Amino acid sequence: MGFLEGVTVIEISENISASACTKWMAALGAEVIKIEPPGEGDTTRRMGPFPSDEPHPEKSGLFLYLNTGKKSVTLDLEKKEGREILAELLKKVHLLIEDLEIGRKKKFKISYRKIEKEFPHLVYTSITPFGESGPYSRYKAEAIIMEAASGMLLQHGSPEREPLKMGGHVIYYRAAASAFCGSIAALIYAEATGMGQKVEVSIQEVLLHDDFITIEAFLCRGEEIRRRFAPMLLPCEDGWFYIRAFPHEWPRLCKALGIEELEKDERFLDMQKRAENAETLNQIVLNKLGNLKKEEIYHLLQKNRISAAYLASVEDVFWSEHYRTRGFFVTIDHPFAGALEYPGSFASTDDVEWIHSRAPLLGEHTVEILENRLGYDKSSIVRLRQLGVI
Amino acid sequence: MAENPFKDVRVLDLSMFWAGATCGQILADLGMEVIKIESCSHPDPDRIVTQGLLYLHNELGDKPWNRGMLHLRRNRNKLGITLDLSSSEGRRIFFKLARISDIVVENFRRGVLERLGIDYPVLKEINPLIILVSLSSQGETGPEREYGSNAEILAFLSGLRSVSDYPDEVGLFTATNIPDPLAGTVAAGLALSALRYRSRTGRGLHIVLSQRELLTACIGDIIMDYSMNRRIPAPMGNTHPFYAPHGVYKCRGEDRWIAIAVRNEKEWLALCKLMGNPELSGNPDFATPLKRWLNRDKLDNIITNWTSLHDAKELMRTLQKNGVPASALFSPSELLRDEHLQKRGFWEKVNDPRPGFGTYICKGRSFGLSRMPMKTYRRAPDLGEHNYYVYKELLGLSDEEIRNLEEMGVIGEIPDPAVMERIPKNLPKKRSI
Repeated sequence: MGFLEGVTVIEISENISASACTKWMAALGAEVIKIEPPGEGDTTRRMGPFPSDEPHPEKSGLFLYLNTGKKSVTLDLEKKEGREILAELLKKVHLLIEDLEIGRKKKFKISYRKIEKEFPHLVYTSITPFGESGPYSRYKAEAIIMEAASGMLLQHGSPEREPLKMGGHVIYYRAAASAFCGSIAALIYAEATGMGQKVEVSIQEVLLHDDFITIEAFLCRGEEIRRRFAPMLLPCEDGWFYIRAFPHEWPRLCKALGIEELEKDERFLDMQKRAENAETLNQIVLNKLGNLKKEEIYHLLQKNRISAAYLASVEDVFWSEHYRTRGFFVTIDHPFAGALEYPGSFASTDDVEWIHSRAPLLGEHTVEILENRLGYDKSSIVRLRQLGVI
Repeated sequence: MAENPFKDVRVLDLSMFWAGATCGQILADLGMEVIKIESCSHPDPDRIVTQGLLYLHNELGDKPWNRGMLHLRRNRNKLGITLDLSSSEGRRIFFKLARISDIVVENFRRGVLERLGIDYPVLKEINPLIILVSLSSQGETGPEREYGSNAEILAFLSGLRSVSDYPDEVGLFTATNIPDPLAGTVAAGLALSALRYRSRTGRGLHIVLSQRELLTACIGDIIMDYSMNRRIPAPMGNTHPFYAPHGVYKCRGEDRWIAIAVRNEKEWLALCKLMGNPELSGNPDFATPLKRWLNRDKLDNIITNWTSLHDAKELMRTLQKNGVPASALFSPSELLRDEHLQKRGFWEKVNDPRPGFGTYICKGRSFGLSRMPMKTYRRAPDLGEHNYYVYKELLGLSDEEIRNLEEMGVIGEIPDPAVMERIPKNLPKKRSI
């Protein structure tokens, strides 16, 4: 059995993070029912990437990736009938998770006060940009706004340039991780006590929680740390490599490069000195390594137990020998998008398998859930369809 | 209040630094008994962090290793013991602990647990119900399994850094924020799931998280582009794939900025109205979302001319009041006095009764639970602080046995001389704020 077998989840997602969270839950064996608006479906169905850049609601790479292993039920939550069906479902499931903007939530009449009263067994997880209370709770946001408001953006980028946003949708996945952990804790609590509760995730707080040391540096030392220079990010024959020479690794680095005579050199005696004389040191390192390939440098240094990396492109990552040996990518077939390789599980769990199955077609499971789970008959399903509820 | 289902769960936290500590701290926050295991020769480096010389109140005190600010933040709610796992005596005692524990968390380099003789097959023999949670760099298998990493290295190797850069150059900057707490949080979620699994099946197991793969999974949609189209995405800087204006804009003052993201016509018109610039609203170059995106450089210049005259936080309030997504780029001091975070109770004030510690502020949690509110009920432990509780009360060792362990250097409360050498003798003066 999977880790989360027996758990049923309702997901209403418009901003990636709830979807990413339930993707992981589905992989661990939970039954995830995704509610999509009839007609157009989830917003990510309209976002790329698409095969050959041709948009198609069943072929969005973002949607296909985020929704592996889930069921899709269409339900118009702006209509009363749609909300009634949702309420019937909520009686029978364990977790409701959503990442809606406050206005949308109002429209769908989703609030914890109501949930607590009507579905006391239910765990309710809400992911919002700024949390559901406080003066910014109604503020509008995009990833770049939350990064700014958490302090992260001012730390990220080159010191002499403008601050730089993180790539892709990474911060939404990060928020998903907190929703994942909190929801599972609350599910276990509910299984033990019969009582649901609210799990609240504010993305601003998640990112501020993840601050490395700038808050402590200010509290302890009165220092406002800003964007920082990476002293040993250097070009080589086919790209860039990076050495993070921790103090205890310095002698090993000297040995690996054949520059043992510099180990005790005044100019490079400690981290501070090495940073001050970075230009001289980098020239020495480049003379030794600059005409090698990035992956050769990475292996050479790591084999000598020196913390080092190369700047891996998405292509490098996709073909990484390490990933390939481990079988990180899994091939998943899909009736519209075909067989594609997806990033698979990021953790091994002995013989407890992760489930990697395709994303659902829009409304693929509507009839199944309405008939089998809620006992609707064919004629009422036809009626709901005519009303545009499903 | 109903019974907390986690209160009888015991965790041995062997992890050092940030990722493992985050996992252990979440479990402790939920009410588990988390025992952090260090040794006098290898205390958690966060205790004596030289990075920025972060000691509480910028004072070393007479036991500086108990004042490391990162340790104080990352090990709240844990008990602390010392145990030299490289000695046979230490290993023997560790086995005793493993017998009465439920979860072990570790983030050693692969191969270290085997060398110490406490890897999963051994632990399973001793306690078949044990759940071992390993926060590895790159997994248990594969040619790079024993390679070391930190947050920056993981960002480089996972592909994340290649898509988080300036469009026109490789930025020579370091970034450390997300990978560790991300991994720690996911690992805690997996540990909880494994507890649930164990209670249903009666089976323990070994979870190995690959931190590099987890980060790659967090750019999974970008990987899909390569998978579908063999396209290597160029880093986009602050540009959004289809929204414009979208970026950070200079404000009045040194290194002051505001982030603005306009997603639809309504937000665009609201921005135009606030700017009151006739160059914008009537301009055919900016008449449609696509035109604004194609002419975004020109548009960004016009916006910068406007924002650079304004205070970032005032502008944030004005823009948001008018429905335009915007936020000032907050600095640490601004975050600490920010009204929103204060009203939400994000910051935690820890009252630490030890002389010279007093009250200090720690960052809060990354999620909240309405029925299990998480707060600090126990400040981070001194080195070896709970040796007596654990060895005497939990394991039933006699005072004499404990004294023997102290004499043999298997346990203790003071770091070895080699560690002491790395502690600074004095600290630079605190800057006046």
